[in-house]
Amino acid sequence: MEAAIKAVKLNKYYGSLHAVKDLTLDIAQGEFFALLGVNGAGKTTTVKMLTGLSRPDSGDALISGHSIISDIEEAKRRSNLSPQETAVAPALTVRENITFMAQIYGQSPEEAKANTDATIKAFSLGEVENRRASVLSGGWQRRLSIAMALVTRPEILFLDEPTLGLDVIARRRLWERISALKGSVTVVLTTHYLEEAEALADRIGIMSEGVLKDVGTAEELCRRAGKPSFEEAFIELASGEVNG
Amino acid sequence: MSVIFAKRNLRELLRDPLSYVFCLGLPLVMLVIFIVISRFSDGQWLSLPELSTGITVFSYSFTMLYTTLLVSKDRSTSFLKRLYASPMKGKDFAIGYAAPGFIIAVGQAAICSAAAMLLGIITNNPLSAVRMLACIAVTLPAAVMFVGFGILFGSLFGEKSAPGISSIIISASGFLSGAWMPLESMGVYGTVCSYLPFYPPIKAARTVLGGKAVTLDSFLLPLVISICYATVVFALAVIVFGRRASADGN
Repeated sequence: MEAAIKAVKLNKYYGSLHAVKDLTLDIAQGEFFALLGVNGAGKTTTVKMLTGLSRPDSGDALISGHSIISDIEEAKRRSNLSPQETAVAPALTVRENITFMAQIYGQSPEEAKANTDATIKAFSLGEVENRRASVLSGGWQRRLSIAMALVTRPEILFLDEPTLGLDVIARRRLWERISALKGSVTVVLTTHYLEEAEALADRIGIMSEGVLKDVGTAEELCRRAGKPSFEEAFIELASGEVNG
Repeated sequence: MSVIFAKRNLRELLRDPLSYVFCLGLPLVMLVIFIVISRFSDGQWLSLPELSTGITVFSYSFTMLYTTLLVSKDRSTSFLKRLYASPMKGKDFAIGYAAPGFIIAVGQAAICSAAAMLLGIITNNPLSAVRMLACIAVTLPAAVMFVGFGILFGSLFGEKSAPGISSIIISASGFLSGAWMPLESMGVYGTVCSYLPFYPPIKAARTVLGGKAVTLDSFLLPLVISICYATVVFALAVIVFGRRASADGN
């Protein structure tokens, strides 16, 4: 089966800072993959390169078989991003925001309406669908933000720190929504919450100082690090040498 | 995609109640006030046709303010990042941000003109509807220029500083455009203003609405200057937005 994402030796520099170093990674179709790391580890830079926001200085990646260097337009059509922080049009209603995104990705008005109805239902946004996004709480805005990404029916969904700054209840509610996506779409989640990666992901990649240190299930990472808990394994892997 | 994005931006602008106050209310109030002043100045002040063209072009500067606010606010959130990651292209962003401002500017011109025609009837100084339409057409390059300034400042400056920069341009437009001052009788100051961006569109429009003789100095040169400024400012806005988009994405 063709990998949903195939990255080969991706590198990104910001001046003298080598933000991502020779990142090579395969993510299978339908897989829920978490990129875990502390702040500044290179997670967001990796997502920016994979979504076409930032061009790699060297290396390439295939998104559903389309190069982010030579075929970025098609790669963008196949994926979608729910960025960090607020990413909604504040004066538009919840429904208008979702329909807007559907149409930006080329859906006809009829198709956009049908997909908007389905997305509002799937994300239980019915009670706020006619409210402007600007009056929603942080938790509702994040839920809307992810719904806006999913209404375009992406093959790959990038969730960049989706629960950052949310209170524990809002975070748990969003986890339920995100975990319901498992199997239906390839998800790449970046987070620095260990429990989030452990609870949601099929596989976890640990990044530190721009290097992808290790990839595996939570159990595999614990075993390879020789630690009984995932937190200890993360500390060991994130601060230690590259395992390969 | 351009149309979808333009619709979203038009909604954002029209759903801000203050945009009606600045883009429509203020120009209309200014028009009425200056007409009243004109009535009490024994012909020393500008006439109704001169004031209506001046206020119409000056009102475009508020469209600039709202375009600036829209672009800078979008840049301050992750909303634009999500659109940069979509299949939208540079032209979609340019058209999407420019079209709503341009539509609002045309609306402002139509309402200011209608108000001026009404005031003309009230003050026994009726204005020609055909000339009024031609006058609006002549000021459209200025509308493009102000929308271009809006995109430019929204791209260059943040959400907090961009409105301040726009306010400086609004003030400059007021002083340098002759919107409510007889620049023709101000010597060197008036001559210098003839080559700056704000007065030429008003000068050309006044020639049309006032039924004056169309000459190189009264119409053609001001119109060409106005078109040149509109082209340069808008092109610069598109280039700068594109560069800022790349930087913001990084």
